[in-house]
Amino acid sequence: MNRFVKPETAILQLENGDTLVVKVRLNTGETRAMRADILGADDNQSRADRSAFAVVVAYLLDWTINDDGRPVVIRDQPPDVVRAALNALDYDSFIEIANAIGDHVKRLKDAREEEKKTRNSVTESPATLQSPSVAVGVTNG
Amino acid sequence: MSAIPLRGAFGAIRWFYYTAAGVRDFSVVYNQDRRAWTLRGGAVAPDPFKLQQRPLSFMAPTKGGPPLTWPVLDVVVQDGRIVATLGDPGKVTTL
Repeated sequence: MNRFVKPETAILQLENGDTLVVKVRLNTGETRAMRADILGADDNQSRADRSAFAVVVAYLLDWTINDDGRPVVIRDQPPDVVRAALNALDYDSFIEIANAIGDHVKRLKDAREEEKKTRNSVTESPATLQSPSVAVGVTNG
Repeated sequence: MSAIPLRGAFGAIRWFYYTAAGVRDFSVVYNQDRRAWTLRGGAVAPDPFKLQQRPLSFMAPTKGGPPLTWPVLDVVVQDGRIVATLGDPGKVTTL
């Protein structure tokens, strides 16, 4: 199945014989714009959407996703190229990618937290260094 | 030999209903030796994914009439400028 949205249209009939021409599907860019229009730019969900997109752009280096067999090259491309490719995907595919990268970021964060806890417990165990009862290498004579 | 260029303030390269790039302060000129039309102008919000799709068309609005349209045969965006080779006008698919 192609994950990229093609610009296909459908005709919808209205009751009085008028017709509407509509997009068959929205791509990720259009879906994100629509959600931002519905929710407002300052809404928490809108912020979360923008944040998820930024995280994907920051982490994503390469993929095997193609457009009907044609490679969609993102490796070593500027962020604008990556953004354009992500925005052209269907939204379900984008969510799948965002979740996979989100899980990866969470695993990294959890591992760092665990490492921090381990480090703290190691440094806490010998709470204070004991002063030597006899000064080493010092004589009073 | 080149004809006098057709100039405009703003046009658009389209992929069906999508705008692949806006083209600001453009010129379209026919080169009789090469038998090709060449579009040049400033790139506005070029979308690298959509510019790789086919078929693309260039649409130039006219005062009170239908837009002039050309099929885009190839297109390059570099340093904020668009240069495209166009086919004969009028033979495009839109929407």
